[in-house]
Amino acid sequence: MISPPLRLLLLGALLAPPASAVDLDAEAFAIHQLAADWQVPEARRRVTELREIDRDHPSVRYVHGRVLFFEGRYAEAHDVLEALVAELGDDTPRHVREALAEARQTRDTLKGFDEHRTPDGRFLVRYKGEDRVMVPYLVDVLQKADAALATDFAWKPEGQVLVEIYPSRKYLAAVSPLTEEDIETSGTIALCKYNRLMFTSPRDLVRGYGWRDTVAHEFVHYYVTKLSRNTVPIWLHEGIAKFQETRWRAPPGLGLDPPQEDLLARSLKEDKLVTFSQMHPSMAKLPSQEAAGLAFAEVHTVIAWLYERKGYAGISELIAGLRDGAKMDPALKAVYGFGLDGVWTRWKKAMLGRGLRTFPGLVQTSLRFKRPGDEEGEPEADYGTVEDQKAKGFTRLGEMFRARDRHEEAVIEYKKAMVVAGEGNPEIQNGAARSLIALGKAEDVPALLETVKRYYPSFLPTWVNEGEAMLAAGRREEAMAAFEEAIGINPFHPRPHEVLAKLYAEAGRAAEAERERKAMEALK
Amino acid sequence: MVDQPDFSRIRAVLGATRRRLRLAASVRGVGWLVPAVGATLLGVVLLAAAGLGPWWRLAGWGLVGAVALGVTLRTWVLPVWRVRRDEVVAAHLEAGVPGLRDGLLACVQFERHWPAVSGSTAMVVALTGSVAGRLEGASMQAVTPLSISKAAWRAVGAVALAWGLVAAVAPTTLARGWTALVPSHLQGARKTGPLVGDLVVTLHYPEYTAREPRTIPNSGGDIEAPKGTRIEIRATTLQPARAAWIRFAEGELPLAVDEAREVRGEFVMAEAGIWRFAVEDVSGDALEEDLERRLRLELDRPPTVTLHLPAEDLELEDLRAVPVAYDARDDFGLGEVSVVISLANDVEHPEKLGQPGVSGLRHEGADEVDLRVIQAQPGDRIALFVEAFDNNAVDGKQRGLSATRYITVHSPQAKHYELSERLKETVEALLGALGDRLVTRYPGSEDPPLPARIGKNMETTDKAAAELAGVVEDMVGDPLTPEEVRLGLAGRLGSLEKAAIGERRYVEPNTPALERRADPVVRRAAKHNEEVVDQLEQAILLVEAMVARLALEDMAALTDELQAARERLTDLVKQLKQNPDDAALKARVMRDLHRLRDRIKEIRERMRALAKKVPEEFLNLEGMKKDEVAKGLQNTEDQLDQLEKLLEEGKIDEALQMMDEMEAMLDELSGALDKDLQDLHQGSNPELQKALSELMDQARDLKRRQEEVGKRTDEMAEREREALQKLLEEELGKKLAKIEEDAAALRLEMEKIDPEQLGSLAGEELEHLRERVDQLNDALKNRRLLEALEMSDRAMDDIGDLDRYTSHVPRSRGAREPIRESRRLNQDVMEGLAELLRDAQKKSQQQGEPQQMQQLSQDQQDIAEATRRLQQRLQQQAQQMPGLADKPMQSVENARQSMEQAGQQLKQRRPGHARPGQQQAISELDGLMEGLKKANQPQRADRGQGRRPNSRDRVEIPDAEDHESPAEFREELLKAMKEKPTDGFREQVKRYYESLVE
Repeated sequence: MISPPLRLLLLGALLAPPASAVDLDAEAFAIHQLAADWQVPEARRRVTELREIDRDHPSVRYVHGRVLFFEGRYAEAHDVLEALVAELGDDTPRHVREALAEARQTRDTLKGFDEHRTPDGRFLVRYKGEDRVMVPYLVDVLQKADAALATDFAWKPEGQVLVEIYPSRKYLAAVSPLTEEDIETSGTIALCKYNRLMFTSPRDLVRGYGWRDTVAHEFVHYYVTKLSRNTVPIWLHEGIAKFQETRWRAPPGLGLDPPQEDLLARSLKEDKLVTFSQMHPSMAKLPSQEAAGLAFAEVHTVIAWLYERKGYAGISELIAGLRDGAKMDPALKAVYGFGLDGVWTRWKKAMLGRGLRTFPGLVQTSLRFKRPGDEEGEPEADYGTVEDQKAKGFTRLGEMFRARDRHEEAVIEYKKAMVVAGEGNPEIQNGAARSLIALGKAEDVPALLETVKRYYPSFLPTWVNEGEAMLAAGRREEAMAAFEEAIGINPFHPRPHEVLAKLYAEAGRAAEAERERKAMEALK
Repeated sequence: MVDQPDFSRIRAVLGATRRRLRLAASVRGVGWLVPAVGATLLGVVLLAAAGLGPWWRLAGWGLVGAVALGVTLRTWVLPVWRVRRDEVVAAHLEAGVPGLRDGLLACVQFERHWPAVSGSTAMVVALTGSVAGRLEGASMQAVTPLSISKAAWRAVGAVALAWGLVAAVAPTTLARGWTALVPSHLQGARKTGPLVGDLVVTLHYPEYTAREPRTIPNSGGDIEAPKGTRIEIRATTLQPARAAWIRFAEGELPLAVDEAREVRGEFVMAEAGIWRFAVEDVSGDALEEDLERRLRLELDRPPTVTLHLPAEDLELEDLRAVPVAYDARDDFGLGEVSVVISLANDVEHPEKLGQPGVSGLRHEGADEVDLRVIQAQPGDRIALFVEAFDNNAVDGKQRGLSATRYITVHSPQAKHYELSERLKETVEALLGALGDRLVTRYPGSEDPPLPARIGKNMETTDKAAAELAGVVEDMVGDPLTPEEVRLGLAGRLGSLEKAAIGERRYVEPNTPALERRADPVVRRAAKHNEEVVDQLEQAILLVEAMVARLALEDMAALTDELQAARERLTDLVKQLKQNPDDAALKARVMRDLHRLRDRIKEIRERMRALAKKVPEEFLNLEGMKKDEVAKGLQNTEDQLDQLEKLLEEGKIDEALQMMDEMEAMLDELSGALDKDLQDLHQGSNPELQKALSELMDQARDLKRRQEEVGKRTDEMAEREREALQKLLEEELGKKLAKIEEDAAALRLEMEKIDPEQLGSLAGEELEHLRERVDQLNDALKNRRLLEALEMSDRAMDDIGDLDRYTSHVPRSRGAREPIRESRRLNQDVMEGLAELLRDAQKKSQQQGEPQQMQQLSQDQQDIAEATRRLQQRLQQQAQQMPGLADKPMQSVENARQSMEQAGQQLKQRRPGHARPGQQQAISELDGLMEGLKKANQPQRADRGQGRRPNSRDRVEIPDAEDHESPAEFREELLKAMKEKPTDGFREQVKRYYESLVE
């Protein structure tokens, strides 16, 4: 089987003068490899030199088009490849056509996007429409993550980092190998591929998602891919990314979220784990959001477990070993003294011995994507999270009363639901919280939300209700923190910006107050 | 001596040619001048007739003159002028005379410069001679023809045709135009009094008016007549005249003058106006009347139609014939009358029912119109009116319309939707009642007092319950509400009312105590309140679920209707493909298409309403959530638009392809709704689901137990069969030998019958009988006693038949004795075999296993008892789930009976006899489980023809395992045994005999 670049080289050899062809083709091939390993600045330098020798050579043009694509210069990449295909006609190799199609698709999909480049030139953010609201928050996360990761890995990838925010999952599906179904099934709404970070805007989800950790997670992939020259297997990739995704905001070693701990604990008990090989080729291809969640919980704890042994030095050494061509088993043995099987068995044993907790009343929630018919505003409760029929009925009655502003009656029904379903259901607790706030009983809310805040840290209503309750109780710092969390889940909810603008201003944080005001303006 | 060239010969030819060229130009010029002037003149005349005013007379003629001048210049003056030069004429000749090349032109130039020419003079002389010779030999007619070009001729023809057409179609217009352009010789005529007397006007009416000609003697000249009437004028001038005219406002009509006094002429009534006589007297003076004689148009009005019936818009409960009565009138005569019906929103595709016997000035009609002629359906709004045409042949038929009546055919759906809406509204009342109760504190504050607060709660609850009761009551008459929905709601309502009554019964007598806030009483009252609250909560949730359920079912029905309509439409389009010119069929297709589009709109509206009213809690409407179904319906609607376009363009194949796509979309929608219905059904009554699940578990357990007992029974029967075989061989050998002897004798007796003595039918029967007896002997020989008994039994039937066929045939007399003997022998064989088998059975039972048999019997009875208990539970559940009352109940009853019968057989130590009953019981338990499964499906309302086949309904096809014979089948078998068994029964017969003898 001849690789696509090689086939083009062969074609180039036929078309170009024999004396220079060999050198050009070999160099073009090497640049293809660099691009594939995301060593794009190096690829750029070499392709520039190559073009000075013979810019018309088909192999040079092809690799030039690919490098442009990896640099995020889709229109230029498209033009270069299109001209090449037009010239080669029927002799165009399939992969060149595919590269052209990819460039065209990406160019067309991203038509009309705006750009923001950070002053230091490190980040280039592409976005569309309302997503500009996210940019300041996003840059903040990226810069913090960049600093933390550079320290942890003792290395920093050179060049500009391209980040693209997509208004909906349709865009992500259009520019990646994922289908919309893949995205919805596995909940994979962000990717690090083609030398760039891509993620779906929280506005495509009914209640947003923890997008800041998600972006940071993809940024870790970016680091690992470049550092390893794309030699790290998926489980390790995802494990490091999961372990490191909170580094922008917290020191290493942050534990699992309750839903993941619960899932892992139950799966360990039932011995229904997702194996490393099942994680290949992508977590996004796992059959459900729950399976993907479990896989992430597993690899997270695997890396945490490795970290406990030899810290970042060990992880970096493992990556270096892989980069230098070692297979996984020898690389692991060289650093930790055991191979992959050893990792699996030792880790499993360690986890079983660690006594992971299950959380009573915790329900596994999935990302809820917006549908074309969805109306703006507060979405209807997701009764799917309430398993017990009786509790579901009480919740429904609570919702009906709340919708009719009969909050006292609503609280009574929610409380009945809690008796049956416990205090760990996000819909019931937040429904009750909203009614309590409406009744002026905000002081009861924090206690009511304590469990769900812990169980579902990415559940937007909890933070909004917590913020409102704290605000009503005059606990400004806590209100501020809650609303900041809310923005970290859905920056398109106007209320947090409104409150924060006021609170920051009162706290003398003028720049942040101004940012919130601008966000409010943008959302109008 | 040098010769001089003779240029004169050439010059002569040039001169003659020039003259001829000028003549030819003249001819051609005339040829173009005539059509150009003719066409311009026609245009000028028509514009003058249009009344452009007096200025046009000058301008018009100016235009004609300009055109004539232009054409003359272009076609005559310029060509004539051009040929003044010799070179031009020479060039013309060189082009027309062969061999000249450019010699002529050279000669012309040589002459001009002679003798100062360079070159050889002799050559010039020779050239001149040669050219002159050629010229003189050429034909001038050929070189310069004198003819008008074909194009000019065609132009002349076209212009002449135009003039002719205008003259024929609009002679008066032409005359008017001409008069406007050409000053009348009557211009300046002296005005005077009447110029004629004895004016006789004869009116010849248009034929369509059916009027006789009318002559008006001594007319004053004022004439009123319909358009198209030919008016004949005769009069006598008051003084001798050389010529006479009728003058109209524009134009004049010359009259014939006889004997200088009698004038006559005629014209056709075209428009209202004035006219007068003018004459030229014998002295040549022109005179014109100054009085005005009037022409008035007698108007032909469109018909008027009065619709007597329907006298007003109608609302029909069902599709039926609608009486129509009308009265159509016309001033000159009716041509045709039709009753027109169409869908109110698709009047472009009406159905016209022509009425017979239409003629004369008036037509009264009465008819009954079957609305089905436009394939009207319940829910349609239909427009009906009567249309009449007169028979005006002059200006064309005129149309008169009656008032339009709208007929709405009520559909059960409309009422059903209203009922659904009312049901939804009850949620508010119930929520209100619940809310009030939830916030009522016991004892709470003193103001208002507790009894008053409780009283108010009871009142709101009663009101809400009454509202719900009203809806449930009305559901009785609504065929579109599934019974299980009504029963479910009625059951919940009953529980609510019971709780409410319980509360009232306690509260009312205890009001004083409540007022005193006596603690135990308050607590009891609070308890009653909680019970009502519980019932209200359940009622609200159920009502919500039922609203969703009904809406879903409505949508499913609408989808089915769409699918059915689409199928009808597809059929029609296919028919249209065969008969593309059938206008009526096409109109029907279009009508159906419009109806289909309306239905899609309706379903979209319903879906929108549904999405608003149904909480996601109850539904898993993936399609609705994604809006894909709505989008799909929108697509279908768009497809219908395209379909209409395709049909209009006659692209029927493409239209059919589009309909296939539509089918796939509707199937998808139907499937999604089915699933949603199922989900809702299962989610809306969990207790019932649980009960059903338990019933299913019990049925499954019973089947397992029955199978286990059946297996043991089989084993026991097998052991007994083996013992029986042994007995037959060891202890009952003598009896068997006797039977074998009889059977052999029977065969011999058969041989005594001569087939020649029998008729053909009896002969065939004898063959059959011999074959049977051979099989009997063979079975005995191989110790297959059951088969032998069966063959003997069948042989008895054959003997009977043979006896019947021969008893009245004289020549068959010789066969009667052998037949009688055969019957006796076969009887002995049958009885012997039966006795043998009975003995064997008895002996084998005596040798059997009494304790095991007893245990088996007891186990069978236990299963029957468990089945009886299941039956009771089923009866209880059937009150809430009507689907259980039919097949499942029958199955469990049958199973129980079969089990009891099997138990009885086992008690009598006849395990073989017990097996059919056991197998039957298992079969019935399977039926029960299937019935429970079906009962677990949402029960659909009976929508008559609109009822869709449930995709989960299975057609029961017996498989290889379905050999257990139910009671009816056994009876059928016995009956068949008495007659001649067919091959298909044979296996069953054998099985049956096995059971008898074991």
